[in-house]
Amino acid sequence: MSAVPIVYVVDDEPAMLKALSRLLRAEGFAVRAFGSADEFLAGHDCEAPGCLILDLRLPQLGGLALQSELLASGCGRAIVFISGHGEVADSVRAMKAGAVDFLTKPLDDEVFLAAVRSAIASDEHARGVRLELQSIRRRMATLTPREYQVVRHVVAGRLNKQIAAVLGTAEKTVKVHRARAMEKMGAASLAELVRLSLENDVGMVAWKAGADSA
Amino acid sequence: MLGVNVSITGRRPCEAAGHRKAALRRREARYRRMADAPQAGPGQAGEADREAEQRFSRVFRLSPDAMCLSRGIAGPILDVNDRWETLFGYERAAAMGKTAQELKLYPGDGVPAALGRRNLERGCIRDCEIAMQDKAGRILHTVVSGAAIDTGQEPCFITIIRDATEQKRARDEALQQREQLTHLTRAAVLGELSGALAHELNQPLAAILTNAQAARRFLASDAADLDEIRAILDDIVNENKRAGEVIRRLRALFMKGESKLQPLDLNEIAREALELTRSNLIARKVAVALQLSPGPRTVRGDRVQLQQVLLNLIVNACEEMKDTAAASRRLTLSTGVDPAGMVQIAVSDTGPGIAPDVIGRIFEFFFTTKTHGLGFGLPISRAIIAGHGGSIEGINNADGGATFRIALPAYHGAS
Repeated sequence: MSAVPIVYVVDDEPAMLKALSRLLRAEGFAVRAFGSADEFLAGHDCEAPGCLILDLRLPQLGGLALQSELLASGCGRAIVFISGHGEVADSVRAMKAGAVDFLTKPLDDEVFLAAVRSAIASDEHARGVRLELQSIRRRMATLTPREYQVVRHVVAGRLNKQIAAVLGTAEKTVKVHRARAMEKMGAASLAELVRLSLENDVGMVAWKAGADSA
Repeated sequence: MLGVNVSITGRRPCEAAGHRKAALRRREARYRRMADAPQAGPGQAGEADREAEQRFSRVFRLSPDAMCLSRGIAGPILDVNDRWETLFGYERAAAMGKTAQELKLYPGDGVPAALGRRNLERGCIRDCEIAMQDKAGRILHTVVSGAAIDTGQEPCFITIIRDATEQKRARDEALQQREQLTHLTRAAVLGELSGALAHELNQPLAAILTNAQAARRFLASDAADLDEIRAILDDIVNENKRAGEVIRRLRALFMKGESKLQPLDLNEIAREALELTRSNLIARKVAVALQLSPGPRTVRGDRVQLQQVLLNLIVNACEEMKDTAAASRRLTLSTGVDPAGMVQIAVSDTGPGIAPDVIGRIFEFFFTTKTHGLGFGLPISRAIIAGHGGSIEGINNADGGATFRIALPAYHGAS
């Protein structure tokens, strides 16, 4: 992640928006401030790393609605909610939908900045996971239907001989398919092939690319 | 928005009691006529006599009210009816020949004063509310009527006892609920106000805090951007002014609000406030003295708001006297006119009085001497009174305790 993370701030209260931007800039963050959810949606780049500081109470499109809109569009941007009231029900909803934190105004700067840092880290992690999954899917897509079938059986724990019997082919042929599939998936071992296949199925990454070599 | 109007609901049980009493009275008159029948016609004795006796006997047995025939008002019991047996739990045979006192029908010592000598001389008692008790010791709240009758052989006294325990319980419960409602209304108003205040003030305060914290961080960096810090300070000043404006607006809102000014008699307001707090005062064992100035003391004001002020003062006074010996807890509610022609209403207590070091602060918002006080009651009261063109002061009495005195301009018609 070479790009500098951006902290997006959305608050309809101009004084608060300005103050929050200042606090973040004083800590060296790149900030983009918006007075409404619509302005944010127009200026937001989901590909950019960073997080979103979102006021719960916004006119028109509210904070919770904006959160679900982002999720629906496939953007898993890490969000820190800020609210003037600290409504329990809303905070539960926000956290269930994946918010990193829910803070009540007035904000303590230490707590606030810690939440921003943790949101950026969580965003970066999620971004890494997404890239890894995309890579696995890309590799998976290069398998021929026969190779894919063999992989499913291998992952299910069957021996080459059994797979050959099920598919009505020679054991030698199964061996060839299996070797080619492992090569295409970039799996150095049977265990790794199982992991990649599982991660693809579940849509989650157990550990990120490069982590296993470290 | 503030008060609860209870004077109407408060009248209901009395009306019901009135009906009940009238019915009882009619029935009693009937019994007397029947009892008097033997003397009515000397000509047709014998047959008519027996007929009247039988009729009386049937009525006596089947009456839905407990009835007791005794020799004299407190003398030995000659007969009781079925309802009497079920009400007190004694068999007829066990009651015969005993006096009510011997059966311990009166919970205290001796015969209740209502059944005393004076009523005895008059020959009848009517609708006396008397506490009695049954064989098991359960206290019964009864309405008792009775009259001396002459059955021909010996002078008797017939007592009719209506069990009103259930009605009394319902009435007490209603009073208690009304008091809870008053309390809840007060709590809700204060909660609403503080909620509104908190919300309105939170925004500028939050911005001020974040701005100040940002400035501190800018200053900590090596090359502090003075222009930035100057802009921050400007914003802090602006936000601070905004917070002040919020308070000013809220106060104006509270004062003007929906207040409906109308001619009001302060004597009436005082009585209503006492009615509202009656059960509270009884529960706290506070004696009440009502010293109302004769004639209506009219002011122009908002009934609910003035009620609220008075309720607040009465509740405060009770609170102040909680450590005073029960025998000397006294609340005095008085009305009058001061030399300047202002109409006055005052609430005095016999508590410890106002401590000299806080006497100047009691009308400040958020100032309280109570453990769970919010510091809202007196400042709101003062705001309300000021809105009525009047004044309120709290002073210590020469003989102990404190007095809160309200002065309002007198109202002399719509001229």
